[in-house]
Amino acid sequence: MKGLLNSRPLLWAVLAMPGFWLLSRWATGGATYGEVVSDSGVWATQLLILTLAITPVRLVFRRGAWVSWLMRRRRDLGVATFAYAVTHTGIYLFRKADLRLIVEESGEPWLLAGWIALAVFLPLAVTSNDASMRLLRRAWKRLHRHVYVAAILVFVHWILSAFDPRVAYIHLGVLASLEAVRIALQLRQRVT
Amino acid sequence: MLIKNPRGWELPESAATPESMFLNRRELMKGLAAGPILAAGSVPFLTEDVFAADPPDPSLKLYPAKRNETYKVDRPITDEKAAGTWNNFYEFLPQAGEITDRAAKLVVRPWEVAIGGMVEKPSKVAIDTLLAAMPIEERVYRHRCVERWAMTVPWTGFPLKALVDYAKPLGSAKYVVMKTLMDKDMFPTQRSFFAGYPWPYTEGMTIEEATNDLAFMVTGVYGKPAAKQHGAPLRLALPWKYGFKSVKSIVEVTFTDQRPTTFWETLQPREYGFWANVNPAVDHPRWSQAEEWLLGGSSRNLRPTLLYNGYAEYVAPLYAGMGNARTLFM
Repeated sequence: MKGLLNSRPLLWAVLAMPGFWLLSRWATGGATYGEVVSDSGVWATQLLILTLAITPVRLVFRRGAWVSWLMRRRRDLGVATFAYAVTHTGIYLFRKADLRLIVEESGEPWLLAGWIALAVFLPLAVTSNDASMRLLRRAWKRLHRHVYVAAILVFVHWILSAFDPRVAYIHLGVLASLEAVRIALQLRQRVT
Repeated sequence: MLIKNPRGWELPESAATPESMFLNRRELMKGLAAGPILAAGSVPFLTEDVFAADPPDPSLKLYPAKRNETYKVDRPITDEKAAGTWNNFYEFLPQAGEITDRAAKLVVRPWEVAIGGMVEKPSKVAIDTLLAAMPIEERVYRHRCVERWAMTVPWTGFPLKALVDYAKPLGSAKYVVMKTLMDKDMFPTQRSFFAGYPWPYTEGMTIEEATNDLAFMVTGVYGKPAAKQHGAPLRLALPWKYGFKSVKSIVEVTFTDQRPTTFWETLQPREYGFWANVNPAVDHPRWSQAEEWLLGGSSRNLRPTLLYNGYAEYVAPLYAGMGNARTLFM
């Protein structure tokens, strides 16, 4: 049981499942472009919220063994977030299939926010490994705090693109509450 | 404009197998095959499937209707497939997209429209009875979605004014309210996460707007009964307003002296208001309305959006006394 819980391949298999399900439904005609591009974006955002939830959870439940289990999986969740963001972008690129057009429309605020968010995520994903952590030392943490910039851009991207942004606001509310808990506890406990 | 000169050997589509029969040929065959089996009483579960098939559309003979050439557009008609695969129909999918498969669930016959409120005599009328009483014609209109996509389609239907006359509203009636069907079995969004939204979809307009020459009730698109994703069997087309005003799959037409609060106005009053007239100079709070992209074609075909979607000469007088208030255009 313990072996299973600590198995990285198993964790990644679980994390990949929604993506495979989504893409296979698209490939077989069970879902449309509008649905897969939207669902993949929602999955990426939810994984991002889950990743960012780990710190406040740790601050609330400091002693639990499961908390340290979660802490050890934080980078995996971050990389999975990036993987879903890349899938989301890939679906869009595949559908548009026209470089000139993609460059042209990338200037629109909602698309620009998405592209910058992806660009901010990239170095974070690339350095989410032990070697980079050792190499970058204190700079690693400073670099990875940019995830908050990316999170804000993700929500700008979502809210600007939605006809009905209510679902985005709900997600934003969840993330904002988590961050409020984190900041309050960090101020009180004087830890980072 | 696409002008087709049929050659002698070309059959009009209407002379071929009716589309509803063609589309449901498997069900028809199943029905034929099931006959003897059912008679033997061995597989009763097949009956559900057989009777779930759409019957041939009784309004087929109305199409194609003669085109009213009064309303000219300076754009080619949008490819039928493009217009039929990018639709906003919130009851089926809470975003724009391809909903053909989902919309197949919509049962469009029997279909009744309740006419009520401030009228001489409230009534319920079967759609085909109503169609028989209305002057059917075809009009090519532009359509501009508040989300910036646009198309040009040949609608078949009748002037909304004819329906208003048919309903005989009282002199005190000031607004016309139209509602979409409420049916949780047919519309996934009405039973989903969005079940708490103010269903059924409600839209409205003033009597003056409803009796304007442009206001059109739609029953067909591209010379045949409207595909379900377009809002069969009866929808509205107010081409000078953003698309969300043009309510789909209508079951209720009510006359009132109170300005109705519409579906999107209830949810997002600062984004999707009651008037919603197209205006490129008044931005949506979250995006510009200066341009629109045309459905169909291989790339993003951007065009400047026009005041009242190009129909200012017909409708600008409606708002003459109302100034240039921002609320008129959102």
